[in-house]
Amino acid sequence: MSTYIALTKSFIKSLQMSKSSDKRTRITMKVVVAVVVLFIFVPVAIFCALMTYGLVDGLSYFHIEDLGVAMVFHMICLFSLFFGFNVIFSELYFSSDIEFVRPWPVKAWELVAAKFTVSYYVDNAMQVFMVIASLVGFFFAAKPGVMSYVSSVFAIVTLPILPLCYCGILSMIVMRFTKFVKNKEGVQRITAVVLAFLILVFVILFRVLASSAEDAVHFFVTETNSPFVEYMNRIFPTVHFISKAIAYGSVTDLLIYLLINVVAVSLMLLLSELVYFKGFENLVANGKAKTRGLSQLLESSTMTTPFKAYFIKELRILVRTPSFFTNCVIPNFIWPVFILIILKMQTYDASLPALRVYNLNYPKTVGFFLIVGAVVFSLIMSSLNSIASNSISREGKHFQFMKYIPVSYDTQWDIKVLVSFLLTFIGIWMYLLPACILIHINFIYVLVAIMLSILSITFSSYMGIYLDSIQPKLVWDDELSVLRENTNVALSMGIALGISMAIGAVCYAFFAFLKVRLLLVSLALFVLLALLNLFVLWRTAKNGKRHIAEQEEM
Amino acid sequence: MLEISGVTKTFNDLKAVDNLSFKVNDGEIVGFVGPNGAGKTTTMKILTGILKPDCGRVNVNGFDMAKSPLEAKEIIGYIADSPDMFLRLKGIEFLNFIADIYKVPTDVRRERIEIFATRFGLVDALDLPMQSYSHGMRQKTMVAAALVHNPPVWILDEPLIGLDPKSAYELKNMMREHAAKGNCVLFSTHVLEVAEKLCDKIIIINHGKDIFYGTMDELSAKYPGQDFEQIFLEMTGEK
Repeated sequence: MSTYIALTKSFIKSLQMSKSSDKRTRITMKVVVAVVVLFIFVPVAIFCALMTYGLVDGLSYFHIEDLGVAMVFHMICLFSLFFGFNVIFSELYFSSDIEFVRPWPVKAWELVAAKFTVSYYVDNAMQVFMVIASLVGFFFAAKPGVMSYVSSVFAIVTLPILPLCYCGILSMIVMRFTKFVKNKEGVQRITAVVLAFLILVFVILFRVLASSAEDAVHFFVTETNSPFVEYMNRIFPTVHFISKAIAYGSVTDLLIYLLINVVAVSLMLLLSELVYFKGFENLVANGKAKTRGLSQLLESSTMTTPFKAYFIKELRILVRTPSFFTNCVIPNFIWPVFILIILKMQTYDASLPALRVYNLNYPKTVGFFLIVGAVVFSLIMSSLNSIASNSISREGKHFQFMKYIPVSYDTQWDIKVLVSFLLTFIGIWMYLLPACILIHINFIYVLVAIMLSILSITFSSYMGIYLDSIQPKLVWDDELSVLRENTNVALSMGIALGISMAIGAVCYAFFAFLKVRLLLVSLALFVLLALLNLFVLWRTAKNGKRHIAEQEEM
Repeated sequence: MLEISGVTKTFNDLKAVDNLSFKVNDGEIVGFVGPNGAGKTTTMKILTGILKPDCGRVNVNGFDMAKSPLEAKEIIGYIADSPDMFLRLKGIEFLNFIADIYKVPTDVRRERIEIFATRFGLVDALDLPMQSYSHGMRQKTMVAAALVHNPPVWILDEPLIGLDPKSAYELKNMMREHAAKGNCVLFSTHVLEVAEKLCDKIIIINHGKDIFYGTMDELSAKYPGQDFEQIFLEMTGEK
């Protein structure tokens, strides 16, 4: 047990971002945390609280309040499963400290337990917020007893354990028994496929929950035996029991809930003794690939500009690093899949002919949604892909390279922004432009949307890299942690989401209620985005280069 | 020529480099030795522009690192203390990338890459990702990359670590050839025998201060009857 505690302590210590001695940076980091909480955690928490309140309030009429809690908890468990898989896989098999620890006289279960705890620590902040918020919603809607409060405390701390156990067990089984997995890249490709599947499940579930609470109540009341709910209860049996424990103060259900968690962790640790270390046998170095001869290599060695060479290097790192590829590159190109799923689930006709007719009848409304949608989507996508907001942190141990090569910081900065800009812009407009053409949207609207999209992406990209330059996370264990444990990424998303929501709401109010002309709305957006760009460029010119020059953690 | 004068660098109230001054003249190989934590790597990072000194000046072939950093960096070949760099790139991609950064023309880079690949035994590895390389192979690639633009000033932070005997021999020969052409080499090492045999001058640093700067003969004259190892341990207070 002491080995487990010692391992856990040192793993967690090595994960933490180092604290700056600079007072200004410390204050900046406090602002960062505040913005992340305000724009990401709080909206998610409000959503969970309102959802639970609506469900519990409606279902209390039928005395099945537990279903309301259960539904939200299932969503949170799926969230844990979705984000936990990559984290656990990376922690168990790909973290750099594993190769140092493996030769030590450490039992498999101790190592897995320590890594599991680290994953729980890394992955759990958002889930805790969501569970607390859901419980607040529940307590407002219901009149629970003391046991409900006790059960709630257990739920806050332990709800993500079962999904994370699944992730751990699945990781070990894949590594031990999958013969076609030969190396880290192969495993991470599988991870990407599993993640894609989980995203689909999540999107569908989100869609169900995003419908009104009234619809959800109807869904539960009329179909209490629905295969969907039963299926979810089978996947996460803990949710069924903890929901009952919270809703009705049932001690028995709470004990069963705790027992299932203990059994799940025990099974995972038992399995680890059997398969964990053997799983590394499949993790071999890259096989000897077919290589070209020296003369061929020299023939292909031709001079290009430092700008182009640096740009290509950035792209290669993004595309060839599985974590960066799946988190930073792929999202730019697969978003239409989710749009299609959502459209398919709508009741109204979103077919091409119908959209053409709608465009013919309401061209200005379509133009409005295109222009404002392009701005909002560009802001969100360029921050969501986090290409810019981890571009300095991504350098990690190579950061000093940025400082000793004869390429100015300004140039390197611009190249990183360009990479973010191009991947986002191409990803958005390679689908949106053909769609506009097919729907026959007015060319002027398309042009305005493209121009505003460019301004949105440049702003978001410059903002992302600027934020990352203040206190980049240069010390990281594996590439995934530079995305998951980097506050700058979350901050950039939070700001972009906040600005997007404000722009969307204000523009809609002006256009739909105040009947302001689309031309004026577009002009206002142009001025606003130009000012935002000027602001972030001014900050970059003032402090960006200084941040890199003064950064000494490497 | 490489010159550092009155340089001080402090980290959290700890002086890593304390009013350090020395000069590496053209045609010289200078060895930089000192115990762990003495300030060798910090000094080298200041020399290459990675770290900004609290005070003092760095001059590289007439270029002030503070005033003309890009010009100064262009003429430096630097090997960092870790070879784990851009491991997702293939060896040939990395060498070409560095050659592009330093604007090495096509025909010149082809010639140099061929020389390095042959002398360091990299031919079969160049078309593979550096992630698949051993530590030694990565170090050899870093050496090749640092020197591909034929810089007049070499700053090498423990360049021999991880190199096999043949590659170490080749690198030491290259250092001699480079200095013989009128260029300068500053390299840090913990292997005192290498410093003793290879260097024209030695800098011994401890707690951020230079405690000796001169030739081996001058050092031996100060400590008659003792070998370099004994002198080093005595000077650094580890004996």
